[in-house]
Amino acid sequence: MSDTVITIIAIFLAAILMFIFPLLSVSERSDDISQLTVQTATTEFVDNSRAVGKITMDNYSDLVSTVSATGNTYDIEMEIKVLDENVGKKSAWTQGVVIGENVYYSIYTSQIVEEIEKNGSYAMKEGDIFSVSVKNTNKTLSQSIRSVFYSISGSDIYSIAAQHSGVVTANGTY
Amino acid sequence: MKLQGFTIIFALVAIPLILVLTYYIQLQVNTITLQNEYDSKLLDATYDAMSSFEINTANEDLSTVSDSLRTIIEASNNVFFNTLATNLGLSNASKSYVDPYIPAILYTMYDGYYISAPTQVPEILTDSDGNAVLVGDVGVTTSDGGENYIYTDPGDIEAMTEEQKKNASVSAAGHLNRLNEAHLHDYGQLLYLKNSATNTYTADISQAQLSTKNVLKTYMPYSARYKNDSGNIDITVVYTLDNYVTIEGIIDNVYYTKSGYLLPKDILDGTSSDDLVITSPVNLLSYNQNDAQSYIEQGNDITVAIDDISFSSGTQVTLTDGTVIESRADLENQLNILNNNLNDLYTRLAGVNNGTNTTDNKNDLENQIQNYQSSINTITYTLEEMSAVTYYVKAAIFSNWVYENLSTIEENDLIEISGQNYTSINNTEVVTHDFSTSTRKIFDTQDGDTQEGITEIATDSSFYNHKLAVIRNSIQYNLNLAMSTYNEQTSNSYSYEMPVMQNEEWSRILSNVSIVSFMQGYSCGLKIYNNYMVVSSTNNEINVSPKNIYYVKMEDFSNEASEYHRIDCPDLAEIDYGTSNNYISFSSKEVKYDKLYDKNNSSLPYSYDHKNLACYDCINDGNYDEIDIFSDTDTEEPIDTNVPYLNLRKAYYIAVAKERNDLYKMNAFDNSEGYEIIYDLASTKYPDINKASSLPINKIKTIEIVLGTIKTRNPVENLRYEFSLNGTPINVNDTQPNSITSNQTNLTTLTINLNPDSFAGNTNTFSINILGVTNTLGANSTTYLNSPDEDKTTIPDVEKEIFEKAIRYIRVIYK
Repeated sequence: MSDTVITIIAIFLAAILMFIFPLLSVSERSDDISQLTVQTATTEFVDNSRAVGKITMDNYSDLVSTVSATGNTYDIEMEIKVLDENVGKKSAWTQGVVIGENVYYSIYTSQIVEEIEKNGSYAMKEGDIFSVSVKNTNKTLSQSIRSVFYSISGSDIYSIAAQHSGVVTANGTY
Repeated sequence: MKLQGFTIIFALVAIPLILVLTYYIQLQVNTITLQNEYDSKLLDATYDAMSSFEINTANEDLSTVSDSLRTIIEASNNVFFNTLATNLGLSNASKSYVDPYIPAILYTMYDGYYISAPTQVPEILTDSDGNAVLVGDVGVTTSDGGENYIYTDPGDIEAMTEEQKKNASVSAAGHLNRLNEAHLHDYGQLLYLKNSATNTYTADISQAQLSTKNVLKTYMPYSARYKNDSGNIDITVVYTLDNYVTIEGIIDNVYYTKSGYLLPKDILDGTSSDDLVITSPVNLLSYNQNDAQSYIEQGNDITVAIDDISFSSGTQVTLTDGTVIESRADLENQLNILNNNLNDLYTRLAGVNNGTNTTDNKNDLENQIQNYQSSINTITYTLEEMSAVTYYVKAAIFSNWVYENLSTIEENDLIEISGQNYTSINNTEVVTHDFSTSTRKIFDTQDGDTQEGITEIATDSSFYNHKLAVIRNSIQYNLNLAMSTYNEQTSNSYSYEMPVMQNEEWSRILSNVSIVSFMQGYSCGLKIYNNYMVVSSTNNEINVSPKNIYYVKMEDFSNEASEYHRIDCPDLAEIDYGTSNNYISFSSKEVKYDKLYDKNNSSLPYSYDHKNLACYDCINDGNYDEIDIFSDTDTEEPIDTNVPYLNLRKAYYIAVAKERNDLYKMNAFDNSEGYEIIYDLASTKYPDINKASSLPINKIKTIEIVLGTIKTRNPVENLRYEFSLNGTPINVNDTQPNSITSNQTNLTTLTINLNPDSFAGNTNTFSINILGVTNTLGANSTTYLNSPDEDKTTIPDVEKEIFEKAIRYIRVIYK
């Protein structure tokens, strides 16, 4: 009787050890490799764009295709903090007095993508700040396996994420 | 074996594999992350260096003068290393740690470039003040006759007696007594730290201790030398990032030094109604460039017509007191006065606003400000028009000369690039373009079709392509040389090599002032870091980029309620109603860098010159449907004229010309001219005083004659000469000496300026034979004497003969 129980436990353990554990491990490595790809693609995309001062259709679709090649689906969020060249004014200009530094206002993914699709590129100027974050939206294999053992609740669950930002270094020509 | 056994064995085999794999992949992830971080840090450091460069050029009046530019670049270089070291987690103090990993930094400027690279330099001995110490200075002694020197800080030299000073130098017990025969010539030489020694110095540089320092190498111009097959043309051309060209060299015996903007050939020939037409009271295009400029700046009326628009210089400005001014000097002077008054009014207005000024009325002050501003705007615009006219006139004169003299030069005539023999560049480098077989004409500006306005040379024309190929070859060769030299010298085992840069990056480097930084050999996880970053500048003092010029209506300039725009902004076209609007323009760097902060005056935390607001469409955002102001068909229908955008087109042509004309150019020649030596008494090369000039009289600007002694019987007699050519009198410029004293032994140079209008049609060559000479001061009473036995009394007949005998040197200066 006890032998049977032990055998069942052993088979169970063996199944975990022989199949689930390697599978989990391999799928996690696969996520790591995806992470590597996504991080590299994101950094390159941001640095390229801010060095020339514009986000081009080419670069953007490059980023999209590189990250999708990892087999997951991603949410690409872009934000440009546009430098407002108009200085802060205290009151009427007649004083010739200005206070405060220049301020920024933000442009987000949908506005940027719309412009890129319309004109082929989105121009930025020197001093703007460009940031991109990429997260996976599907459940990767490792996330599914892990959720068998334990689950993390919440809407913002991702295992592959990359983020990069920087100051734009040149006025882009549209 | 039982199932458990298999499981355990499998686990034993699989787990280590998985662990190693995990670890390895993790290392790869870290390496890539690190590499990305370094990329960003390098880019940020390069951007900081560029910001430093931009701020310094904007705030330094003399930033385009080469010495000043060099210090600015050295400062920028420092900023680069500071930022990079700080970003890499090192402090500023240990920034020399990153030095060895930066094999080169390239600074491409307007008409040349700098390379900063680590180079081995000898350690020079300096005193406590940082001054170099020489052999013979107090404190430098030797005990072995000069083989080795020892330096001890002498302290306060002023307090020492002569004897003490002697004892503390190489001259103890007599003149240079401590130096033996072989080292006597060391006296006055620099001292270097001796190789592998401490506190021992040598004057022999070959024994000096070398150390690696980042050195900014000499300025390399974007230049090329051409020599044609028949050998009558041998010139060096210095190119720039735009259409400005400097030419120096010999064309048919005449040595030219010329600088100017090149206009496309097809707008100069007058065959199309859009061509450049210059209307002037005199034949301005036959003037020398500099003479034409001063003629325009005196306030004369000259009209430039091009591409359906026209504008003119010489607009008279009437001041409030009724005075009429029109010359550049007067206008600039008046502008300064008005600006000072305006500042004063603003201060008083600020006083009214904060209650410290009770004497003035706010409305009165505001009205006065408005009046002053309106005068300032008018004068500013008048000056802009004058600059633009000057640009087109000078450019047309220069371009005509280039097309007349140099249109036959082909690419295969090229023999040197930046002073380096082309054959050696061609043999050792992978050149991007082989000049030696190409028959492309270098001054062909007519092909190509990518142009912004018809006065611009197309960026895909032969001229531009050739220029870019020259610059690229030059940079590649010298950058490669700098890196491989460093590679030879360094003890670092990493092999430093110049990477191949992409075409897209080259086009950025070659179209704007840029900094390219290279970082190699830095340890980066599993690999060695090797990358470079390019940052281009759009806001600097030394280059004009037409895309970064902003425009505002003349009457709205400095009006806080209106916006400034780019030329192709639809919002600008929207407000361009009326038939003749004038626009004031300024470059982007002016708004970016004109915030002034005065620490001592708390009531004025910032003063800001440009009160117009930036347009939210074209300037702050930059994504807008740009209009084509050069199109003759009105597709956007913002205004109701038959040919649209004429006002904007005019604004563009004036703005680009004005910005370029007012730019200081480093490698330019102040006087664009050529010269030919006709006669030199002291040289056997020019023995014939009757030799004719190579070019006709209408090309001559000035004749220079150097006179030796003119003998007269009386010890001192005043002679004043007037000249004529074939009977046509020459107006001698009064500021030049044409009066000389007889019997003096020093030489006098007579400068005879030919009025370009009087001699415009004269196609004869000049020689001394056709020069008429009259002495207007007592011609008949003066008694000339050439030699003791040659007493000339019949003066008018022999005046020319006597004059000729006194000539030492004749030089003809061409326009």
